[in-house]
Amino acid sequence: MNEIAVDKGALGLTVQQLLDENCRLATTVCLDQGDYFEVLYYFHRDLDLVTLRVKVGKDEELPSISGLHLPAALIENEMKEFFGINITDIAIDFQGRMLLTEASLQKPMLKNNANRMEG
Amino acid sequence: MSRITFPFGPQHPVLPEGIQLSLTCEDEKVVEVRPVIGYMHRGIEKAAERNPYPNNVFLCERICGICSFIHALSYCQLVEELMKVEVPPRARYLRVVWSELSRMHSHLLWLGLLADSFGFESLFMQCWRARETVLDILEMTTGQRVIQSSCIVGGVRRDINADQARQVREMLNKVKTEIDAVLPVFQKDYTIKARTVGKGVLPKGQAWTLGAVGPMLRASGWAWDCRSLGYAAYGELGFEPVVENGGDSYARTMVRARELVQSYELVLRALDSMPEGELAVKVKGAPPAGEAIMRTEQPRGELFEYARGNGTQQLERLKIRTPTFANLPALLAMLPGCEIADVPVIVLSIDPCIACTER
Repeated sequence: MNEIAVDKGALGLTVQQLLDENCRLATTVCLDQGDYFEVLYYFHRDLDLVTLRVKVGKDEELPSISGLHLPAALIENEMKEFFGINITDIAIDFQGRMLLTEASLQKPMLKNNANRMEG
Repeated sequence: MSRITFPFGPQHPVLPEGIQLSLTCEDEKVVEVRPVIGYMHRGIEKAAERNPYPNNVFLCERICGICSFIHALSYCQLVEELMKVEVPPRARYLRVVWSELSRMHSHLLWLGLLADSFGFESLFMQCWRARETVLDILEMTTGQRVIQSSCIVGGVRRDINADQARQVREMLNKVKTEIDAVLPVFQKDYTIKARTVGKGVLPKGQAWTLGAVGPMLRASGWAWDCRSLGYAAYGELGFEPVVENGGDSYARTMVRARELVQSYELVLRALDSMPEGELAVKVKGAPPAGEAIMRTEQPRGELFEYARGNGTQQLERLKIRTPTFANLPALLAMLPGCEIADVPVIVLSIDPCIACTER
């Protein structure tokens, strides 16, 4: 499996290069690393995988790749909802209400929300 | 022409689970679709961070009651990958047997639901009668019909002895006779073809770029199946993906129909070539710091799992991307342009599993 560390500013360009090589997004994984998020983008290259690893500060914006690749929209909404990561310009933006409701614990996947889950 | 927007679901006769599609129509034609999900979200990924890692097997197999065994298998293989555990050969073959029995009952369930969706009740009943025998086999070999709890990290917890294997073969031959009776109906019946041929067409290029997986992708001409990766014992059983080229609801039906027969053959082949030996290895310690991914083929397509260990008994992160989640963008692309009357069959043709999607 190929893995590429990418600066968030170069994310769109790198994704476009992969799409030009007939890759497609399999999924993304968001990790709460304390003072920053780590986002892994897994792309199918036929049956193989290519991984892009992007670091984003918790107060920074991450540009959506759904403008380049529409299937990314749902998983980006999920990351935004579960982690509070500020993904901008999602092609179909559910405004934080794709899976969670107003009554739900917000940003439930953040590590500091673990104790509230215990209650 | 004026437009009207109305909800399809979350309660609808063709939807066994809750999902809503907000349909915008002009006259009888669908022009826009927006999914409304969130009715079945259970926070399983968060719950998985709190459990000791062996207990997550039981959590994962409850993601869905149809593809329960393969959820457990995927999680076990994921942790085995992370902890560098080698599973005994017999366990790998048993995992294939139960995986393919799960695929058989899932596809029979779906074929029945498809028949039911256009009122073909006798065909629905015949499919589900055959499915009952598959569930009987699962009950006989694992003790459970729905949540098998037979997979553990390091192997399996149950064996299939020679006498049980003989009974499995006999029962499967009965299922095969019943399948042989219903499949020609799906292939040739005028009504079924009228409701499925040319409905919900997903061209080959679009199927790939929209992220479709499983029978959705293979019905659009792609020989793409995670079993080709050779996990469990698939690499030793001569597996080849089933492919159709029509890209419509009929092609998706044919892929599942042919996979039903393929699964039957895979179970028999696995039983015939299963080596003797241990069922599991003892797994000690905790998952080390590091990452692993695992991909398996559910009845609905690729299941993608990611785990991050931190040296404790709890995983730091478990990510689960299920096949219906991947197939939703393709569904949203197939519906615009279709007649309202065709929406139920097209939605059903992706074999939606919402419990999986929302986790």
